[in-house]
Amino acid sequence: MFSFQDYAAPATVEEALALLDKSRKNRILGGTAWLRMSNLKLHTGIDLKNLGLNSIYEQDGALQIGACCTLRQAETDPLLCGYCGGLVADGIFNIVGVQFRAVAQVGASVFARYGFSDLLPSLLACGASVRLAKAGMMPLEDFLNRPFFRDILLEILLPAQNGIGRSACLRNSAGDFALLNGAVYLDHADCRIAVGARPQCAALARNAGEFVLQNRGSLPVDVLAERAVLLASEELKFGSNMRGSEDYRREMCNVLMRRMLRPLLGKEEGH
Amino acid sequence: MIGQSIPKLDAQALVTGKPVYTDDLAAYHHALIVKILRSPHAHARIRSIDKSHAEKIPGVACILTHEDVPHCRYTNSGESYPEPCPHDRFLLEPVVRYVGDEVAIVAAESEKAAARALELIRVDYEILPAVLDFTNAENNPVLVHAPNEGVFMPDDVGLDCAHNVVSRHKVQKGDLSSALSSSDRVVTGEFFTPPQSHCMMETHRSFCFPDEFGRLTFWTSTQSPFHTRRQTAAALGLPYNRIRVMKPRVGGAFGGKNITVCEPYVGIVTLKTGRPAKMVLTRKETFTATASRHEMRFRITLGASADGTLKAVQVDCLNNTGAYGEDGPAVTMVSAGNMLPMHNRTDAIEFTGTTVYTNLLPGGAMRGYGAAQSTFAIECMMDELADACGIDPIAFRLKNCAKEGDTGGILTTPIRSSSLLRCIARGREMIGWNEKYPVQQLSETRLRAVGMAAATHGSGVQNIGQAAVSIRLEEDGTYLMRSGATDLGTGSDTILTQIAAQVLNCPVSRINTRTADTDGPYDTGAFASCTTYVTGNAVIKAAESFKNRLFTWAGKRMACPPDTLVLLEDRVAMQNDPSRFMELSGIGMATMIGDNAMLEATETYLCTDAPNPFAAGFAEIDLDLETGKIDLHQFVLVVDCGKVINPALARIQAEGGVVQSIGYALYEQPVRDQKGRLITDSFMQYKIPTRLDVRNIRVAFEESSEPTGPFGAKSLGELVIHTPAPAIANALFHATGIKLHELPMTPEKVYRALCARGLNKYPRRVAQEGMH
Ligand SMILES: Cc1cc2nc3c(=O)[nH]c(=O)nc-3n(C[C@H](O)[C@H](O)[C@H](O)COP(=O)(O)OP(=O)(O)OC[C@H]3O[C@@H](n4cnc5c(N)ncnc54)[C@H](O)[C@@H]3O)c2cc1C
Repeated sequence: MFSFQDYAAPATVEEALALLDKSRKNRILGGTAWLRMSNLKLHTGIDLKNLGLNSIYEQDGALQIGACCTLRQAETDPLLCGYCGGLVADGIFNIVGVQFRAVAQVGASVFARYGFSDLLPSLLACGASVRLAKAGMMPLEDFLNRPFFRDILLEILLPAQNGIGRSACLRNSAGDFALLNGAVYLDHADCRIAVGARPQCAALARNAGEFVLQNRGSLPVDVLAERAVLLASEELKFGSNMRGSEDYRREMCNVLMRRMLRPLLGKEEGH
Repeated sequence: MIGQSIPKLDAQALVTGKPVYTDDLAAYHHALIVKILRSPHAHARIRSIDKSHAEKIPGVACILTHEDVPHCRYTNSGESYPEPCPHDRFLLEPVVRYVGDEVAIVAAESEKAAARALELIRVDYEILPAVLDFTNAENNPVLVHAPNEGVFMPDDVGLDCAHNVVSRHKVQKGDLSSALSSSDRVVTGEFFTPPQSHCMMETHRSFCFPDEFGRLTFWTSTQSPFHTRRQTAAALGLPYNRIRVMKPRVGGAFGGKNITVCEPYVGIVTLKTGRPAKMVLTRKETFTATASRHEMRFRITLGASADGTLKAVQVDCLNNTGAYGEDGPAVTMVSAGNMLPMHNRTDAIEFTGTTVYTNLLPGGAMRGYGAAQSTFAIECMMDELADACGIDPIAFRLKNCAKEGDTGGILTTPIRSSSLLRCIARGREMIGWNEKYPVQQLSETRLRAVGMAAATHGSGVQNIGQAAVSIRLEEDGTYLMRSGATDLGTGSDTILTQIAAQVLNCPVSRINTRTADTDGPYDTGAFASCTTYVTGNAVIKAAESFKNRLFTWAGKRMACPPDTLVLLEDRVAMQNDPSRFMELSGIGMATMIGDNAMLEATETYLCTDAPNPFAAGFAEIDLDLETGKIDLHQFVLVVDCGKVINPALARIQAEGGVVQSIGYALYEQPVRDQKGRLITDSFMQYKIPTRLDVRNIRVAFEESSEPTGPFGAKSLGELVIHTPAPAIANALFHATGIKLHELPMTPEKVYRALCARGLNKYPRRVAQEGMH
């Protein structure tokens, strides 16, 4: 179990940042579900509860998710449930259980960049951005590609858009980490395909997305999907851990992608 | 009374969070916190230990190493004496034999001080080569226990330290080679079953204090207080009368608490310091440093005639007992003894078993105790044999399985009761076998299939399991019943009270049941599925004996022969004239004061029969052909445990067993690194089923009447874990022809097998066609 000597709940982002920068042994406290699995001995635990980061709201069709929202809050939020066919909310549903999701926070889940994250693929597919206290705004993809740095995640921003998405995952058992997960977003101008738990952190399969955009309408849905699937599993890297081997993951990537893409493309064709 | 779903007598206290568990009871005693420094190496010799820095931490009361403790050989197994268990442990010694083995004991005033002291102890290890593959243990140049170091087995069943062999076991009936050569169909297979963690909610813990006579008094979370006392006494070199062991409420055990992994360590601290001391294992320690189900390999050959008559059963079993022998030999024996009775009708049986040491986490008792492993293997082979004969697996079992009245062969007592045929028929009906067998195509990528398995077990340990029960009339006419039985959360205290209430013809509220205290009557403890059967029989004996004494006493006072009396709720009355009676309250008072006749009876029951209960389990699975994932759609278990004493408690036992086997079948998989360290040491990495995984479990009972059982009852607790794993594997076999002989059946393993048979859907055809 982790422990800390001091507890602080600063009133401003600046104070929180100052505290964080004061010592490498000071840490932001999210829901502490993850922290408690460690044996870290910290100086100051910094609680962000007074920074007003615990709501989800809409501005001109774009959504902003405060870092301190719990996973459960996000999963049941009417705005998020309506966004892109519930893409973000759907991914969260698979994480452990309701009691757990009522504790763990969205900001921590994104900032920590867990390879197994069920949140990151859908956020990537949505084209999300993050707002950090120091580094400011940046696309989530850029954030994930940067080496780890100390900062405070304040908000996650989802752009105004009206396409639909789907997520999918494969688990050895319901309470386990995904051994592979993914999400697809599709509208008239965009196709974003993200795959996570490879077991590395989620990433976009750009070639596959491009291919769909360029060939939709000219290829039959089945063929379009199959070829996009192959492109994705070629451009992404996979690895092995105790939940699954590299080969298995690559092959399952085909399966999950197909299961997400075909209904989306099929729906589009039907229009 | 018998057959009624009386709520557990302690249910209210448990669900309202009353302080009734070991750690709760320690709370008021200002106990020293005991922690163990554990080996990071699978095999090493300790050159030196420097505890000087650690001892300077404020609040540290003592730090003990192998130089500070008694050197007495003991086993930590909760088996009856003479144990078929090697006495291969010292409390601490300069050799460590697995990652997790005890190196030093720290006792401190606070959790924090103890944890800090652990960090500051410096140990210099000479790392030794280790045996990490149990198939390679026998004849390995590395020896886990040197042959000349005084390891011994009170009931020696083949201990041979020079070859890492702990025991050898053989069971035989008939002439195997001629039975095989005259068989028309012969199938063979090799099976691997992994270790499994118990995952009881309450981790291991023990609390010890010196009583007013300086005796070591334990409140401890154990399955067998008397064996715990014996092993603790051996480890500390104390006479039994210096130790008292009591078991408060226990938060689950599943066999995992039939070992003394805490008691000798807190005991030595109390001995050395004179202070109360407690030890609460972390979840990580419970995973990595207690015990797990024995890992096993089976090689099986079966033979049958073309009409599907089973003719020959040959099983070779290799059992990995890890770094210490504990239950290893008994588990090997039981993998034969509680599985083979099902197949006793066959012409020839040969079972050979070997138990080996390795430098891994010790194997220990776990629900099913060897038979869960062997039943998985043999029941899969039975379906493969039925298939080879072209016979429906149910028809095959109905033809070949054990039946009521069977006797001789490898059976040590006749099968006096069995409703297995009814269990199979009922389960077949409940699952809808006739409509579903073998497989339905749900969609292009999904199959639904059914499979089944049958199983047996024992009820107690024959000629070893023994229980004493004492019943006394109190002054106000209520009863005190004392027994050594050990309720682990199963509800056995309630069951025993129900049995007593039946004989004493009163509501359970009239009986004060006190159990599990070594200063009270003896009991083997709660293992080998024995409590209802063995202690239940002792309750009946004691209650009958009590009634006789009561009637004799009352007969004299009422001037009538004892056999004309009946016992009613609150009185003794004449059978044919109920207006003539004596109230129990009056009798209680009278016998307590100066009558030289206090009414109390103590009786002992020895388990001479250990009858076989039976069960048939039916799995209906959905198989995803693209991913290899098996979803258990529903599971039906039909049980013959003789008479069902308490249907609600019986049902939850059965459901719990099924759930535990589902995890075993599909994803519970201890993973070790190359140096033998268990890395699945948390619930984050070691996955047991959640509500979302288990879906629909349906349990039914087909009662039989066991003539030797209390009101016809047999055992239930372990039997119920046997069938799910093989039934699921058999469903997979019927759906695809895949013979998956290695648990767990993870999606990747199933997927590989599907690919090998060309059954995985969606080859790359579509995409490639598109490219032309
Ligand atoms: C047993 C278990 C199983 C899990 N299974 C899954 C799963 O299947 N799928 C899945 O997606 N996730 C899973 N998770 C991860 C979970 O969803 C959360 O992402 C995780 O618990 C972190 O959230 P928290 O609120 O608990 O963070 P904390 O434990 O409080 O913090 C985690 C880290 O993030 C830092 N941090 C917290 N908030 C911020 C912030 N605003 N800015 C910068 N840094 C911050 C903390 O300093 C800490 O280093 C699991 C976690 C556990 C413990």
